[in-house]
Amino acid sequence: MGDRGSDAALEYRDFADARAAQLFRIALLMCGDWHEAEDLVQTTLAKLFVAWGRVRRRESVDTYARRVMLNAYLSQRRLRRSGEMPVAELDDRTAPGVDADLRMTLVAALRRLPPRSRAVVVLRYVEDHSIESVAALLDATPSAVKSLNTRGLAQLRELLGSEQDLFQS
Amino acid sequence: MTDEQIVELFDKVVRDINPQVDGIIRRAELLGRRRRVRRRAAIAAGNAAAIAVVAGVSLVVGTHHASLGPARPVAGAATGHRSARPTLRASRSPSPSPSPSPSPGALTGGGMTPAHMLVTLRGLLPAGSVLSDVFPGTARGDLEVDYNDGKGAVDLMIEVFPPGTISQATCPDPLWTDEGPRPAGALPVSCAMRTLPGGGVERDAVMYNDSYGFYGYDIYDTRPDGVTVFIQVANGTLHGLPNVVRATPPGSMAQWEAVVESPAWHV
Repeated sequence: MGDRGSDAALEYRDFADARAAQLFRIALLMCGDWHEAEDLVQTTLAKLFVAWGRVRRRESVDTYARRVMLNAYLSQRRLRRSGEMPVAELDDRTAPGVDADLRMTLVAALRRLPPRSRAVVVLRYVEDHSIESVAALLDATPSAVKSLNTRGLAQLRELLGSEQDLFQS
Repeated sequence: MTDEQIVELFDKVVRDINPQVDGIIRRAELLGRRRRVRRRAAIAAGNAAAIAVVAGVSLVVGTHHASLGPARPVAGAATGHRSARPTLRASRSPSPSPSPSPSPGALTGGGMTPAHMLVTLRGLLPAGSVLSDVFPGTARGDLEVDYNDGKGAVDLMIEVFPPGTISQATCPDPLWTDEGPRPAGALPVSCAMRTLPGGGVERDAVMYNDSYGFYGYDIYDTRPDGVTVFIQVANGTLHGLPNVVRATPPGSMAQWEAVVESPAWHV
């Protein structure tokens, strides 16, 4: 974004204000860590800020933001692959009255999925993306995404199977 | 568990995630502005390699930042006020000799640490200068700090590029054009290539300004061994929006040439 464009600056700010919370939700469910989710959103918005002038003219800003965040997330996972441990402690930040156990259980289960499966499941179930849309975001084929989704869901069902009590509202 | 139950579960959990995003947005914008300033400097140098390096630095920043845990407020970013971090007052005059510093072998990785660079810079500045607000997202070989010569703080960046990571900066023809009105009394845009006595090549520029009137000295010093030292000394600060505090950046081109040419900078 050029500083010359105060309209562009306002547009960017409007976008960030409107979308940051949702980006954070996706990030949190993908990475499972509140602080890391904040970093992912911050990185995404910073890159979006730099590219705003180009992005707003050429493609869907929402799509671009998700692609950037996915890339950042998957890059981090690659870097941390050897050191990543499934769920030791989860940061519990919820509003008063919120069922923290439910969230922590879901996040813990998601963290046991491979990163790409996790991303697929989150995008499909949080944002209702189609297989084709997720494929485009991940730069993968629809059949690969379908497979990741099927495997991820099966694993998730298995992991959550013993927690059925939590899900009775 | 049925598909519908999973959808319901996600819906319920997602509804309950309500982060405070104001701080994230402000920090992202600040980070974005800094990245853009660096990118602009790299592009102005006519240097695709430099842009790649800038992108690399950004990744390092992100990774490093992530490794620190929570996204932390950058000085003044969240509040618009200056931080309470202690400032460092330069106590010595500029000197062409290396400042006392650990040998490269004493470093645990490639490049000078920001802390090491800060000490080095302090040793190269006029007495009475104040350094403050070190940008915390910097990596090795990369320092960004506020510099105040007593007439108003400005943004100062130094980067040390290892051989092969950046090609020779050049002067464009025609020169850059401003993106907005140039501040009254500002230095004119200029660019000159110099060959130094030791064989190094230097590009000394006064940059074009953005729409806020933000510009500065912009010097690339490429040594015979391929190491390049870059400095940018602006006419204002970068805590959020560019804040132009003076018509001209502090010091003179000659003063900043002496800083980048110091052998104290190393990889």
